[in-house]
Amino acid sequence: MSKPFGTILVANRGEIAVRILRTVKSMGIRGAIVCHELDADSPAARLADIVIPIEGTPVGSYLDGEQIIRKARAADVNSIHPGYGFLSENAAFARQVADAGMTFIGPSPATIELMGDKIRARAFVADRGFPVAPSAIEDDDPATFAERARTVGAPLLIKPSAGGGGKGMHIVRDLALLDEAIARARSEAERYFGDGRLYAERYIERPRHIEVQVLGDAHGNVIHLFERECSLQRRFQKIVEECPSPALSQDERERICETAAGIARAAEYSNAGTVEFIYGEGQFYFLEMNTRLQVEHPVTEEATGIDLVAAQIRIATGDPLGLSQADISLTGHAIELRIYAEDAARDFTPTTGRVLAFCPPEGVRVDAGIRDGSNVTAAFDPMLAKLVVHAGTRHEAIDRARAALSRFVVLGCQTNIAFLDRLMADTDVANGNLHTGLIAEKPELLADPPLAPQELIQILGIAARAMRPVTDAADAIATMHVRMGGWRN
Amino acid sequence: MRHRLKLGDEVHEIWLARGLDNDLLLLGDTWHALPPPSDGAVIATNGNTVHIHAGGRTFTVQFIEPVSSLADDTGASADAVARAPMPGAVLSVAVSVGDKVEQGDPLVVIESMKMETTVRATRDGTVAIVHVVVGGSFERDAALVTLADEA
Repeated sequence: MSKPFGTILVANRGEIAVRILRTVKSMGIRGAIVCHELDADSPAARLADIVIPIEGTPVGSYLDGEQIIRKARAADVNSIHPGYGFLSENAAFARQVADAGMTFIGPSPATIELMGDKIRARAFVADRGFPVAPSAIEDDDPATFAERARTVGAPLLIKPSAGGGGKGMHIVRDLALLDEAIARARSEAERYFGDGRLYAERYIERPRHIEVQVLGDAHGNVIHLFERECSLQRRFQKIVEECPSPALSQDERERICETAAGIARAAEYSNAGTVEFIYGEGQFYFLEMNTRLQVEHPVTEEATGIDLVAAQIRIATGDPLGLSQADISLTGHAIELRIYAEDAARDFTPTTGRVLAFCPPEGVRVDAGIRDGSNVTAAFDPMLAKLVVHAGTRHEAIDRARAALSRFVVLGCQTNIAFLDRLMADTDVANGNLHTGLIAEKPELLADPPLAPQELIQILGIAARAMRPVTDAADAIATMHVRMGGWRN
Repeated sequence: MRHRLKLGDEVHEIWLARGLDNDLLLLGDTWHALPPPSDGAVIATNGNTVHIHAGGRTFTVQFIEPVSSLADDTGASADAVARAPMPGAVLSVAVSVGDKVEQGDPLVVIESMKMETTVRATRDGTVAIVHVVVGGSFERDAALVTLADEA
């Protein structure tokens, strides 16, 4: 057993900071958090043993690796967990953490570099005989990029090579619009990633997104923790994820999971990672590898019983995994639903507001980054919380999710909760007929259905009785009627 | 005169009265007996707005002050004001006060939801007010650029 960490700093915010701190504290380790002033009263700041204020713009402060490392050292932090987003896949940051004498909880900087560059990652995977989709890579010969992309044929997906999270991705179904899409993707890539290089790959119509959780240690052990299906997406971003995938046969499950473990093994992967695949018509292609904890990791935790953050921490101390592939099995079915501050009927645009009431349902896992009184602003990502249900079968898990969604109260800031419920009630979703364009193909799910006359009366009645000018007027008239009655007698 | 309550995009005119057994709600031409306040609903009020969670759905109902229902925050006609379709930040401003623009001309490029969107003029006109600066942030429906009303 290696020497455990005394203090772990979570270089993140919101629900993932809370989730990591819970495991850190349960392991008897002190938990520290960096905190912009907008987050000073957040659940994560309240849970942490040590709060380290950071300065700058809201998002910029969480991206300021130099400031975070300097303040972490001053606070005697031994180790930094980056969560997801922000600095989690920044190889330079991982290196600077190590140079400062602390441990980065994640894979080596070299691995982050390899997998962070999508083009290099693809080449690495293809060279070792794993499946990748037909593609054209700009770097191979920038002058002929558009021409080679045309040769791959429509439909095409144009992506930034340094990208992630759907940013800067454009589908081209008509090759006449290719140049325009390339220009737009490049402008977005330059702005978000400071790197305008692109690649184009065959877009599989109605694909499924299936990914495999892997764990590797510094001693060469690599295992997989089965797959997650994340096909329910809006704007290229996942909103519902599940484990296992309803699409795979047992044989396909073994093949895709073994492929993922093989890729991780080839990369000498150490710590938690996710190998993402595009799946359609029985074929799967490597998409990318995420060298961090994923947003949707809880479904794997629920279905396997493994605490992934605890595993990450043990691996980072240098301990062997302590788990073999035979130790990992799936029990039942887990579903995660992301609660966003957004308006589904307005093309999922973010909403803002002060949270006047936050009452998550009891008896199910809710990873939340807000509480009563939190201000939801446009400064940060609009994900507020994650609802995670686990049941014996997929059908029961959906029922449990719907029951929990109907009891999930967030007032003061509009959310996607009712939309998620309509999505879970959809026949294709219930039957597991998923693909990444499903939500876009069902615009009828976006808007709240009109209220029945009796419901309208009920809602207006509740509102009327809570409005002072309305009740004052009602009480005044009641008094008047009593007097009139008196005159008549 | 009735109270005006806004639910979603619709304004409803109502009156509340106290009955012997129930509260009564006048909606349209009909009085409806309201059920007793239900324990299933969760409500939160914020100024003139009541937020309600009932039957698994969330509703926002706004009490419209009798005078404010006529006014607009800029005083300009609706199509003279280019508004933010969503909360976000300003990437660039393409126009200055006094510029003549035609319908479809770009006014402001905004960034929201990790994407850039160009806000364009919905009619011809002259720029009267630029409400935003590069790097500034705004909420949904905020005025971005106001055009002078045509003479």
